[in-house]
Amino acid sequence: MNFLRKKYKLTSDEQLMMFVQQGNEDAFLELYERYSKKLLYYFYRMLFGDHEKAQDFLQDLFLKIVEKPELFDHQKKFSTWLYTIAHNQCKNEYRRLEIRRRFNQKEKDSGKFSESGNGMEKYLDTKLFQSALEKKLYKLGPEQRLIFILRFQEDLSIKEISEITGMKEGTLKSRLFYLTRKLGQDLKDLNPVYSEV
Amino acid sequence: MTNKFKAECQIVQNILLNMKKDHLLSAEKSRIRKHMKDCRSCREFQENMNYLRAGMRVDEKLKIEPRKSTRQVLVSRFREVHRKTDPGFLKFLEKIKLLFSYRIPLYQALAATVVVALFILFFSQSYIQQGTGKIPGALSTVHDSIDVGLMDIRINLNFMDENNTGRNLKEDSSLTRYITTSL
Repeated sequence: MNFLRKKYKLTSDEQLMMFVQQGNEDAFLELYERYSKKLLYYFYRMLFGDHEKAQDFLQDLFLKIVEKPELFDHQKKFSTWLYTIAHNQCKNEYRRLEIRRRFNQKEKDSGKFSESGNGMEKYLDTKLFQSALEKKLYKLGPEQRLIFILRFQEDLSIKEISEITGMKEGTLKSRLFYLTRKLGQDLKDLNPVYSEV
Repeated sequence: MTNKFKAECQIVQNILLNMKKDHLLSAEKSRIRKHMKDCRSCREFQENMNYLRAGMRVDEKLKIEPRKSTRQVLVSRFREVHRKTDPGFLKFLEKIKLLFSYRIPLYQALAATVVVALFILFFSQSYIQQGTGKIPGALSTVHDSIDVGLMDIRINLNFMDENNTGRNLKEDSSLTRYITTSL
């Protein structure tokens, strides 16, 4: 049935969401194709490289769209709405982890966070820089990690990130500026030096 | 460093922070290039940004694919949620359900009466159609003239004919006797 789905290739996300609200399965699958992989990587990095948890979070997110598509406000951008839900899921998970950590009274947990990236260690030889960056990322606070991932991995604009996180654009800019500087200095030795402009 | 130069730094860094991948206007590009020649800190900043962005690029070797079961689960859930049903019919069903959920006996009694009335109507119709009922002799002509169904009964009573007074006294009803004698 893939040939039937092709008709939605040029349709905007917001229009697709309107079809989803009317019960159109193909429109939903098109949205799933567009965002599932992106969001999986997003969750993967936000959840310290936990692959299984990232898969579960992805399923939960799309189940929310299936069950309550009417919550989408057509005045807003679909991707912003989607990342807002994803962001809230991650926030809840951090809260849960924090509560568990407090109950267990294990100080090692905070150390484990930075080491728990399942797949990252495997790529240390070939992707030393990437691995080091991820480790640095896991050590950042949840908010800093979020804005960094949204900006540098998902390539969202400052305005979009501001809508998702509820932070002011000025605050975001200064935080990103600080983060770029800090991470740049910390990873200076591994700097492979890219130039795009 | 002059104030003007600092302001230019801010503008350039703003552009760099806000730009999407390879989405710089040519005017912005030339502005950045021009500024970069003289500003070491902005050069460093841009360099940092570029390699951090490259570092965040999704690793091709890290093959993470959404589970196939996820898609199946979502599709089946979608079909469950958006099962196509006539909203009018659903409303009607809901009303009926509501009606029978009342604990007021009146509704139940009403419903029972309607059911019983329908039952009687159905059986009385089939009783006449089968012709199993015994009709007195005086009304035998009436019986003969019944075609099918209650609505099509045609009564052709001819009381002038003496033969229509019944085969015997028991069969003759008081009504036919009254009519024949009065005429």
